[in-house]
Amino acid sequence: MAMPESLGEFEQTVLLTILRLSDNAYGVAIRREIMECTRREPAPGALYTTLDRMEEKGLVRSRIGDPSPQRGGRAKRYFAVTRKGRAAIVNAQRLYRRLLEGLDLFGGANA
Amino acid sequence: MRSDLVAEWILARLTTRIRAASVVGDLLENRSEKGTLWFWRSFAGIVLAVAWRRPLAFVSAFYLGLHALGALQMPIYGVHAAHRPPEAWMPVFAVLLGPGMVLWMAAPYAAIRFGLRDSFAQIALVFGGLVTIIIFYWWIPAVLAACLVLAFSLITTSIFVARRRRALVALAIATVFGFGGGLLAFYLAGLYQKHLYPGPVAEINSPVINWGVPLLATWILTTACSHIHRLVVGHDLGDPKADLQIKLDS
Repeated sequence: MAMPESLGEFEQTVLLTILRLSDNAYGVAIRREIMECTRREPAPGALYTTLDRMEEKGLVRSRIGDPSPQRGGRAKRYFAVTRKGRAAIVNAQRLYRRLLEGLDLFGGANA
Repeated sequence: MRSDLVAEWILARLTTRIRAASVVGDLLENRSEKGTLWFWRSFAGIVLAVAWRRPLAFVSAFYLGLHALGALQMPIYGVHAAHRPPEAWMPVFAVLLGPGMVLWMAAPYAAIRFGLRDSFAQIALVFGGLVTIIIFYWWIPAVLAACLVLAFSLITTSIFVARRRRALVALAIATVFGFGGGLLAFYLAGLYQKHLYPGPVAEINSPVINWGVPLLATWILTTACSHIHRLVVGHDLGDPKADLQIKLDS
């Protein structure tokens, strides 16, 4: 069986955000959700190149929505995580979980 | 002209029209809240993030191409010519020097532009390396045989893997275009020189020619690489088919 794609930290963040947003995962919403969850503002350039790169790798796919006047008649590009993307994020999170085993990071002196 | 149309037009030069429109739409959605300065600052960041590979790839191809020309000529003129009769090394020179130089321009261009994992870049790097080894050590039968076997194996195995097969075809076409582009650049340089110095062809020492020939040759090769990669190898940020794929997905 092929190994799942290895992911960088920002790629994991974006994939998890798309999963959280479900059907409403487009540029503005993804950026806002990342800011709310991580309290870090991702640079638009970094976000769009990451989304394009992940689409090329087959980790996400995109579809075009309907145009809206608020956006000057431009359509939103919605993203969804593919089966390959889901496998990659599950694998990455499993590795983190394995590393966390036996550590008490969320309690005691570190809390 | 409205600023969002300008931004969309610029971005569409660097990526697909659909992607450009959706990105500018996202920026517009935030502009009322964050202001025009934020819009243009974000736009500049996106352009930089999308476009930085192209100029870097072009400059790398230009300088590595010139360096390869010098490095590959050195063993031919400096080593082989001193020890062997011309009929022994001239065929190597004739067959391999031009394509070798083209491959050493295409390889860094593709590696930077499309990434090292790209089949086109990988095959260009391997063939560039093999051509270089042959030019340096063609007179050692074992080395020559090993290089030829490796090249033959690579071609044979590539035929059975669709992506590599497309990359191989794309590289072959790009090499022909690159070589032809180099010849065209020299031909145009000759015409320009005749225009400057009517009569017998003088030694080329015009800066326009000295810089213009390699720049034009690099431009032809890199443009060929970019278009052929997009058409033959497939998915790229500037691929019009990507727009089609997005439409089909939706």
